[in-house]
Amino acid sequence: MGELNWVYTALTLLVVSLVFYAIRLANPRKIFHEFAWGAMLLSMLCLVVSLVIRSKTAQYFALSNMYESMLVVCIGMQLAFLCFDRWFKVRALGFPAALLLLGAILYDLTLPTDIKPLQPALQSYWRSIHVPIILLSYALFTLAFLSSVVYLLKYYWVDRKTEAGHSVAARGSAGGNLDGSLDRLAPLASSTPQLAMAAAGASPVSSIKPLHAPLSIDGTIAYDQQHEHSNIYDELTYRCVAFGFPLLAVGIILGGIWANEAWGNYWSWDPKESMSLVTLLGYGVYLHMRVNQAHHTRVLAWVSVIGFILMLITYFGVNLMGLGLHSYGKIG
Amino acid sequence: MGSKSFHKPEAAAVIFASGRLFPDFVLTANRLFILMIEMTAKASPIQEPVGKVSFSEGFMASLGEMIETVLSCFRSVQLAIILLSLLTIATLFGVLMPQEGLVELADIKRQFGANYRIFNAMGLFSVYSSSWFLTLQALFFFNLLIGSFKWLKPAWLAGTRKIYLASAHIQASPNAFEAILGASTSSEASSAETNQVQTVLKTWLKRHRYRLFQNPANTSQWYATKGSWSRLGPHIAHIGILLMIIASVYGTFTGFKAQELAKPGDVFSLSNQGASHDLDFFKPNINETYWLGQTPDWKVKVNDFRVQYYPQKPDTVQQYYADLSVLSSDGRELKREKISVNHPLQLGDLTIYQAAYDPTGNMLVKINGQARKLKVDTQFEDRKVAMLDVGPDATGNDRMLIVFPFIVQQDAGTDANKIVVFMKTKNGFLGADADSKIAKMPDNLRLREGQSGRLGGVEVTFLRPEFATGLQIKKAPEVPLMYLSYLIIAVGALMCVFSQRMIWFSFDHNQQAQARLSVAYKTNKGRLSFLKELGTLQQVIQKA
Ligand code: HEM
Repeated sequence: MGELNWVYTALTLLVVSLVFYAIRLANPRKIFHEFAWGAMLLSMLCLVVSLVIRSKTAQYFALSNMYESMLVVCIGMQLAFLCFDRWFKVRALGFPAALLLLGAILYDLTLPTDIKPLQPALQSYWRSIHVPIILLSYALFTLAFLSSVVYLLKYYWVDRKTEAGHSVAARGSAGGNLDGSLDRLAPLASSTPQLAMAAAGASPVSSIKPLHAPLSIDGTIAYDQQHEHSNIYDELTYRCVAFGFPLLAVGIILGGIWANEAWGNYWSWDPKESMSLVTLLGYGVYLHMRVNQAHHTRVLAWVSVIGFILMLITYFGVNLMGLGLHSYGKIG
Repeated sequence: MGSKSFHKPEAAAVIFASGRLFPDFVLTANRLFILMIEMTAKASPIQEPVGKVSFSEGFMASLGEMIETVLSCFRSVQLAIILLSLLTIATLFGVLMPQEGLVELADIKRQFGANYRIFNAMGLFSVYSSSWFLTLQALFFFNLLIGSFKWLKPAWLAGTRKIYLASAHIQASPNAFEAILGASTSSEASSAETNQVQTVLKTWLKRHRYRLFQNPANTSQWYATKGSWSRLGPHIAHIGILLMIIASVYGTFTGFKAQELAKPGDVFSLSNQGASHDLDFFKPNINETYWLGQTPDWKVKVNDFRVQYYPQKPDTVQQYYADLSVLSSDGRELKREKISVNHPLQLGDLTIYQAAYDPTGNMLVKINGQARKLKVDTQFEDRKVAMLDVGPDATGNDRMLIVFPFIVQQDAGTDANKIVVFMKTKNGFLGADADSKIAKMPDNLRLREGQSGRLGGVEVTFLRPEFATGLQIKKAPEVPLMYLSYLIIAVGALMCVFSQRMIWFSFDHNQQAQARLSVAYKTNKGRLSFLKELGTLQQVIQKA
């Protein structure tokens, strides 16, 4: 089977996954989630196979043009999504993620897919380290963006009407106490499904109850489901950024080392470079605002959306504006 | 940090519209503002100094307080957020505005017309070297430096200190739960139950890779933690960033960059002694008056330079190879190396890169087996060609070869380097139709690299066009330091992915004399997965 046929297969599987995630939005049965997850996994494997075949044909790691690069971003997004989905079981995220991936792959197929020989500047093993790391960070930022958007949609459409403590205090120690002093143990949002269950569950041997949690009249934990869900998206955004940020930093650093080895300049304020720094700084703002604990989760979600826009400019914009180094041979 | 309620004076509210976002920063900035007013008041002779405090004492006191205020301002994460945001926007400006050096100055002037002067004065066309950008970087540096002093110790303590909590403290903590270990009130039964739970807990903690500490003063108080090392992550990253800034400043004062376009056979000197050097371009990284670096007195000889094309695609360059020798001032060869793109020559902190190429205008050929270098210097209609006198033929007719060069990097639409050769005698072009000038091409040879042919009794072989190599020479003494900082940043940033989790246990009895376990928990990030883990902890306690 040719490399493009594998992409088409991946696309079909993605549609299957999309349908199951859509069903799951309305129907919480676990089996749909498993189907959707499985289809997404197979779809990712197909893309990997396609890329391997392509690399074999080209006789280099196929990561040298926009088509290949977007393919890698999609694989990275699928991988990250599959992991996070396993871990957090985020119900509302599968559908938008699959939809975005579908759009990305369809767009990718409109790009030129012919294989060209590599220009001298790209013939370096640095290329096969530097580029995928950056692309993986882009994949994570995209996922962070998705979960921010889901958070914001929920916030403006559902939660704001029942505003019940999206405040700093409710976000609690997710951001971390700086000095770790005990009298500043930040209040955790009092319960999770597990904790609530454990509290309600009447075990004959022992009983466990959360302390200082808002207790409702019948003694069970008042568990604000919507609030809790919103926080899952917030935490997912944070997790994605927390992974993506060091990856992007390492990727930029490797790019700097490569540039230094290749043409003697680790940093030349080339638009693509500068823009990737802008993206990094933008997400740096996000992380520090989080550390600072003085900001509403909503503000953080917006900062992550801004970070994503910066990332898009870095990824597509700089090329579209026709700027950029990557014009090898220019002297002076 | 973390003061949630404070008095917000009007002046600050007006100055800092972002006050809602950055309360602490506004607070310090506002204090600074008030102090400045106080200081001018104290310094002003019209006003009597209050009480016995002399003018200079009052001045010094408020100066001290002012310095303290400035320092606390520089220690704040809020300033970091503001500076990071400003740096983000400033860097973005540099991408969106055309930058000198990347875009022709004339084009910028044309694009901005009357606005050019204003924007130029604001440094918008050379953002990254503008004074305000450098100021921002300096502020950032001090923010990080002073902030690091403040944050490092608490993080270290949080990571290393063992803290034990009494039940009362846990009961008062917002992140806690308690378990009643069986209904029994008899002390033997409850201590058996407690022991059983303790064994189960120890196994659970071990399996989840927690380190467990028992309070030596009170063995019923436990403290378990994991990932404490990750608390140092951000600080290691910050120290790396500081080191990176220091390295780049060091490089600015000691490094230089030079360029040279050299033909095979050329020798050039790297030294700029006596202000004259034969480099095409030499630039210290900073204005020559402040520069502290030195140039080596070495010479570089270009032994050979070749451009290699893809065999199946002769119009695409595969690689450039320059064979270089570095010679000491007395002509000894220090190093000889064939460099190519991505494979520079390294000699100490000096690096020579293959960076560019330029056709020299010479074509290397063999005429009747003898190597010749043809100079492309004669204008023939609209093209430059090379002319070569090849002497008279058998009949005594003088012959001249006219060589048209085609070089892929120079002539659009050329699919491979080649030459087209014609021969001219006093009768005109060889093989030309005397009557009609257009109808027939005169006899000619089309030769690609390596091909030969005969024309009018002359054997011509086309070897290749001659290229000069564009070398980039760089002295960067800061590179090892820079790479070290990269390593530190990378390690620190990756450490930030992990979180520290802490669990406190305390065993005692409640008012009903039932055995009770109180548990408090805390993490600095990744709350949900921690709570998930705690869920399994609750399960094992419940089962026990
Ligand atoms: C380009 C510059 C900077 C980068 C890349 C950077 C990076 C980071 C990272 C990755 C974290 C960890 C965030 C997390 O755990 O989620 C962090 C935390 C932090 N940053 Fe920065 N930072 C920078 C500048 C600054 C500056 C100027 C300050 C000012 C003092 C600062 C203060 C802090 C503090 C206090 C923390 C929290 C540390 C903790 O959790 O124990 N950072 N920074």
